[in-house]
Amino acid sequence: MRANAFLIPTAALFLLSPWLSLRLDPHGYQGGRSRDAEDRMERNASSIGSMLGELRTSMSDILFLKTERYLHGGVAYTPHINKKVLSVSGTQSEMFAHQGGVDAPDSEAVVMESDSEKGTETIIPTAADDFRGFIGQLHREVKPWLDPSRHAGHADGKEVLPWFRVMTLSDPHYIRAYSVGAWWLKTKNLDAAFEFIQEGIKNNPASFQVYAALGDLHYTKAMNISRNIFAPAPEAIEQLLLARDVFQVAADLAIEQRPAVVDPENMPDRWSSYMEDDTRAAVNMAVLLEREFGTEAKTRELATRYLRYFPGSPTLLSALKQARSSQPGPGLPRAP
Amino acid sequence: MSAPSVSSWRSLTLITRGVFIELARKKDAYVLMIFMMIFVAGMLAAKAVGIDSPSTGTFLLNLGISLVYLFAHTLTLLLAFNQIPRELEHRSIYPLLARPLSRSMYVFSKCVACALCGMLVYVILFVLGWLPVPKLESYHASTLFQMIALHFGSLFMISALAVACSLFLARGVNLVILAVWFLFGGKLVTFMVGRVSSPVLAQGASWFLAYLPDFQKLNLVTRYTDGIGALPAGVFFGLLVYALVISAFALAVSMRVFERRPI
Repeated sequence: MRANAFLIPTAALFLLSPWLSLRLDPHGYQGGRSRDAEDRMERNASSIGSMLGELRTSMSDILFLKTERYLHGGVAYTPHINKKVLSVSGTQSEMFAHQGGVDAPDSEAVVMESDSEKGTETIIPTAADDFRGFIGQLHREVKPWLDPSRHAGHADGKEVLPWFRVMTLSDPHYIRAYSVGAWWLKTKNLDAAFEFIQEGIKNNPASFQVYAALGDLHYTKAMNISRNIFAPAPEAIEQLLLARDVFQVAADLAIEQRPAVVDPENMPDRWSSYMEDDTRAAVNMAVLLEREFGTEAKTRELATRYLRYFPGSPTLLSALKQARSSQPGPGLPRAP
Repeated sequence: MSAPSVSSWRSLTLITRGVFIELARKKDAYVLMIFMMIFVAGMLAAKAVGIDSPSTGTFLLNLGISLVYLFAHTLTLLLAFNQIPRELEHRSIYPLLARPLSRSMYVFSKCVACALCGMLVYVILFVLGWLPVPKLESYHASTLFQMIALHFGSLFMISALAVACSLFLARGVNLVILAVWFLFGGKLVTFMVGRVSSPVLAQGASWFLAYLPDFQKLNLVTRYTDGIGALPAGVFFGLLVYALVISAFALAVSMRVFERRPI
């Protein structure tokens, strides 16, 4: 075997190998059980998940647990998110309430948990439930621990931001990390949140949830400019128009990916109930913003088209009715 | 009078047999087998007690195949990184080269033998790590086939790289660098590219860093357990070609270096 004769062609191929490597991404798919919030919740709550402690199926699972722990001042609780927060839109609204409205950009406040979450079990059990006696007592002393009857205070989210950065660096297709991370980031630095979500779009151009998160950022920016949304400043209107366009992209992508038939009682394998919730949120925002800041013809067209997928939707029916009667909607004033 | 020349096939089978015997005597192989048996025992216990939910079953399946992937690569690396340095140290290379066997053929055979041993270990471990796990959700058989094929490509790649690096680096350094790169290489590249703010520089950095072998590209375990369908044929064969190009280049460099190296 002649080494020289072998080396030259393989070296030539090797020099071209980045061309091949950069075009091949076997992990760039949408969805998947490992990234699915409901599956993650089940895994983390299972007895085997508890036995394995912080060893989980993926890095993002571990980081997910880290964000929970950081939010609870280091105290390790059993996973206690409810099904409502599985959708990105649900998470965003729920988190606002969950954090007690900690939303001011410079807020350093730590707010107390709502009463409904008191009693959530800690990973380290209470003295009454711990068979280890002295060892258990020692464990509770040396580790951050709080009696479950007094749920830990919530930090304002600054601490979790690096974890979302690491999550997306570790898995650039982890859409939920981009959406939820952008939500946290916008409370501290809106420009950084835009940059973060743009990176998410670049890495996941087919994900409607990342576009919906971008729409939410534009909407937030408009709200920051004009606190009185009923009389928005021209710069705010510019942001609202951008939000409208982005929500329409999100809604169209979602409709494209949505199965033809969706039965709420028996959701298809690749389309979960919270993806359906996010689709509804994107569709509603797209139509409402079009009604307020776009044209009546386009509003009618959008509402009619989306009603084929969500028949009987009160938001769409009301938008269609108002567009037909040329009445301005109850929310935002019509743009000049 | 010169010794009769040994055919390429004969030398390959002889060296492969030697590496197989070494594998059978290796304590590391038994340690990894014990770890795998612990997983199997845990798996059977979980099955007896009852698995809470389908997603937990999928998690166990992912864990089982990931262990198989990790152990097979670890063993191939442990086998390959020391092949040539040990033969040089014990001077057992001289009778081999005196057969006569060309130095290039010797390096090629060592690399292929280590990869074949890794594949054999992979198959044995796969039976243990995949078979007993209950399949509670739907998985694509075609993705499973692609996953195994790409894992074989990945084993060949780690074997070629370990043999090549053993000609340039001290044994410990070679082992640590390859082990760290195998485990975290893909993430490190993503992290490094992510730190570059300028889009033009990021593109340049991506191209440059793409020369470093990425084992994560050849690992479809999560895709399989995520229930995602098979890769398009173009992507699948592209990945196989990628593994082949990296392995062939590492092999060509090591053959060339070893031919010129004074023993």
